[in-house]
Amino acid sequence: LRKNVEDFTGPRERSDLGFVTFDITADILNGKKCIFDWNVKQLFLYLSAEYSTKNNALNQVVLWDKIMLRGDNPRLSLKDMKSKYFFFDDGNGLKGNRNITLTLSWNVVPNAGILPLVTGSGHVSVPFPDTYETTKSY
Amino acid sequence: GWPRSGGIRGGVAMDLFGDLRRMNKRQLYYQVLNFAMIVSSALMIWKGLIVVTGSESPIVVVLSGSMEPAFHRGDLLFLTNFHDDPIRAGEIVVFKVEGRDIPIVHRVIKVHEKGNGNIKFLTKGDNNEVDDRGLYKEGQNWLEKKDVVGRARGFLPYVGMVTIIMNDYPKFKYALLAVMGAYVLLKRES
Repeated sequence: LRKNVEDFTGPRERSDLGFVTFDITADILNGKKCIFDWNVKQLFLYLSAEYSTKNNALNQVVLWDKIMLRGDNPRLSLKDMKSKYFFFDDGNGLKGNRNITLTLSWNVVPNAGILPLVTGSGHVSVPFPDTYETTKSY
Repeated sequence: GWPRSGGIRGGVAMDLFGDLRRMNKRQLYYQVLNFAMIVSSALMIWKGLIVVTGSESPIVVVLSGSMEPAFHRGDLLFLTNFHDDPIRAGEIVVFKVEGRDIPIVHRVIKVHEKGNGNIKFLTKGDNNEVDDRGLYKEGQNWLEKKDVVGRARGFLPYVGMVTIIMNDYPKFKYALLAVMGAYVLLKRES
């Protein structure tokens, strides 16, 4: 599982807004066996950013998600993706924050039964710059 | 054994009235107690589930299509609400907006937790374009732990349709209750 990111921060109202672009390459397999067995209806994949700030000890923001149905190609190869949702902080904790961890996780939705939440084994740390960008277009 | 009239009886209704008249008071009390025991046991099981899961409503029926294609209207969800379970992004939570009775099943997409354990979070239905801020109370931008009924841990498809039908067609509900009541009161263990 690999992710590469570029990032900027921009102020919006009074909270930091982060812009992240990323690549995702993933093989949704469970060892040698495909995770899509007879009881898996779909996977809900999401990329979340986790970090701490002065304001809040723990912050988690879902940047992007995708529904993968049984039968879809289990290999993901996405390049230059922009985040689907606004990466707002609750405050100004993104500026200069060196340690934002991006993780890919997924919710397994069975045909019937337990709903597990699984976190992928790779994760990437992303630093935000110390200054705000005012002119970048997104 | 009960005295029976010989030959083929005509119709279920005749049978029922016949049985009722033949039952003496003791048998009737016995049947009523039987019925009460069944109702009490069901209630005890439900209360037990509430205690074990920590949720005020451990089983809920999905009412809308906002979480499709994962959950459809009529699916049944099993919830837990353990106090020490932290709320994390990606989890499916069932919550109630203050002042409204209807439980909503959506996914957590943002979490901000303070050092002292104070959590505020934002939700969104998988099938919705926008987050749930429009569903919250006027001026409310975040949900808190107290709004959570539980976290979805397991699910069964279609099974909850019965409660939706009973809600939309009350006559069906009364008919079902009447049939169940009649069966329990009148069946005899011989």
